[in-house]
Amino acid sequence: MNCERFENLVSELARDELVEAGDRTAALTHVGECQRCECVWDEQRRLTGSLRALAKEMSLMAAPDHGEQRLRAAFRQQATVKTFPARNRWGLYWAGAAAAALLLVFGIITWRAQERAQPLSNQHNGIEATRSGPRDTPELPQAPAPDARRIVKNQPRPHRQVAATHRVRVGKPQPQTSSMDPNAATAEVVTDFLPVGYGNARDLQDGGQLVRVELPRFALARFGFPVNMDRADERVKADVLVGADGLARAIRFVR
Amino acid sequence: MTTPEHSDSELLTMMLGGDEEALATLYRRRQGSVYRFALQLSGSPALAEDVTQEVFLVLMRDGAGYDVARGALSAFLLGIARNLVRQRQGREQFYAPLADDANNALQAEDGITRPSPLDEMARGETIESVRRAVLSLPSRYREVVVLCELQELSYAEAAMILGCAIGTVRSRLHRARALLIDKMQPATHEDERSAVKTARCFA
Repeated sequence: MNCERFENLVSELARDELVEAGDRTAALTHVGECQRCECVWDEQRRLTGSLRALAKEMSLMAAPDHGEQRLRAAFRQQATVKTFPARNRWGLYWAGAAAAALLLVFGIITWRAQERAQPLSNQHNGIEATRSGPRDTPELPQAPAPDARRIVKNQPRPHRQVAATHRVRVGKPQPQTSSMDPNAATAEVVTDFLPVGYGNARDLQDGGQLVRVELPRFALARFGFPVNMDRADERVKADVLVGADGLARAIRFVR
Repeated sequence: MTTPEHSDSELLTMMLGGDEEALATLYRRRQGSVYRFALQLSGSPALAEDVTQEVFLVLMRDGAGYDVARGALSAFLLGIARNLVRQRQGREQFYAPLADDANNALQAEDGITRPSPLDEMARGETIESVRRAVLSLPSRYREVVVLCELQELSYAEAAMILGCAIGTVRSRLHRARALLIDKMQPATHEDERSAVKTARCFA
């Protein structure tokens, strides 16, 4: 037993904690031999005595009496809240389930309505020309081109005078889609016909045809349409009214 | 109907089942130790009273979370009280010795035949000085002193309440006692101590 070892044990010895008998004997022997450790031992014993006196002095202290009444009141209030009728709980559950079901149905209806509003995706690639549908699709409120419109309306249905469907495939062949497909016709949105070059109605007296083409999107700007420059390189569909002489007379854009 | 033979765990189970008398019995049995613990930790009777109430409210609300395998209910309650005191002290930054009303509480009659006035004064001063010294300790040392010295809990119980290892409790207590001795050393004792010149034994 040395001073360092004694200092490690002195707290527990002073608190009468369980210490190995050999260590206790050696420590107490060391106290008799070392004056410094004797001082440390005395201090620790005095501290233990003071702390025990403090604990004893406070041993009878307790919370005020009104604490129990307050707790009882809180306990009764809590018990009242817990006894909420079971049938009301089931009613709330069913109401919640019904509300969730309504939200789900509403969400599905909204999603399907949005799906129908979007046109079918374009399955063509490259430049293709197909015969347009017999009926006009809904027209976008774009810049009017009265001359072009008259050409289309006053002419005896140019699409009937089309001699043949002129199909030009460039690049990878795509599956043919019938322009008579009512779903395709109703899904497309077109602008009014806009005059191209110096054409007029008389040029179509000898017939002509409607040719479906694809143009770069920036071509829209030439006809006064706003163009998103970020998408300027994308393709846009258009129907070109071609006269018998092979010259383009009018154009309308398709979406 | 509760009886004194019911254990704390049984009373808790009965209380959670809606037995108000079980709550009252448990409260009367444990509120004193909880109150004293909170008072010794904070030095404020008002805070100790609030914490005592809150501990049992928490027990009413979350008592189902008590696991008897983890320790005694009394230690569980002290753990709740410790957290509440720390929260309140963090909010209020309450770090002061006892107020006058607490001094009066300390000096309340307890029915024990008192020694002479001089002895009483000396004893009172000693108790007062150690009380102030305990309250002036850093919180991690104050907690172990209160739990192990004043509440007389074992190292294991204190470790469970504090959420640390038993070895940590022992080392903190050892350090806390050294700090208390330094704080309580009067000037004369300091001179006596320095006058004792001894060489360390290296036996």
